[in-house]
Amino acid sequence: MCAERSYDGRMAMIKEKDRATLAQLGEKLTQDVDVTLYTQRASALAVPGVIPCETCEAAEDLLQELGEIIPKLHVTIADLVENLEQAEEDDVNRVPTIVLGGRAQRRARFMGFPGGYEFATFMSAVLEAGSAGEDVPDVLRAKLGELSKPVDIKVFVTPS
Amino acid sequence: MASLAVTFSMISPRITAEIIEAQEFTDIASRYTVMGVPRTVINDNNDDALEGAVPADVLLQKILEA
Repeated sequence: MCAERSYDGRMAMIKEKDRATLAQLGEKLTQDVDVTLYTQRASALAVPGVIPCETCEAAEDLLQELGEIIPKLHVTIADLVENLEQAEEDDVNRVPTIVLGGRAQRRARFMGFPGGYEFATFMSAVLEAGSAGEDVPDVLRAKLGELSKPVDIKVFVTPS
Repeated sequence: MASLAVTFSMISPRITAEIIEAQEFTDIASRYTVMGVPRTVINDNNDDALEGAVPADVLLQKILEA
């Protein structure tokens, strides 16, 4: 996904030709999905000990645009430092982190910039969160339903 | 693997799924000795991680054994 300049002079993260495709995908959502991006707003001052977030601004732009294209996505941008209490509730301490609501009920998250090659991964997670989830075989569903202890799954991915 | 993990987290309220971009969070990636992707770590058990994409029943089995 390359950036191109939009009508207001801002660099658009999502190409015009991709917008229609995404809007179509968005129509498949059967429920609304809250998408919360924890970010670090750019500061004019370098704060000692604080690592600047190189992808936060791009992640914010991308999600804002996605929210405009898919009305069922409710995008919230939350500065990590200014929303510590909420971040703690979501167990988030790094940026950028995107917490998915909807059917994911805030138990699924994406850490890192969701664009580039990982955009498809991110979108599939979003679409899952907003779907009825009927595509899962009953056997699998039953076995997962029997889980008695908490299970954390970490999946490492890269953009290239 | 990523969307499978997310799907699982939606089915069971006991499952949390984290998709982590390894090049952006190199400290976490090195803690979990990520050499290739996707690498799937269940309950921080790094010695028994899944390398590459696996079918849903394999991931399920890992989870049940965890």
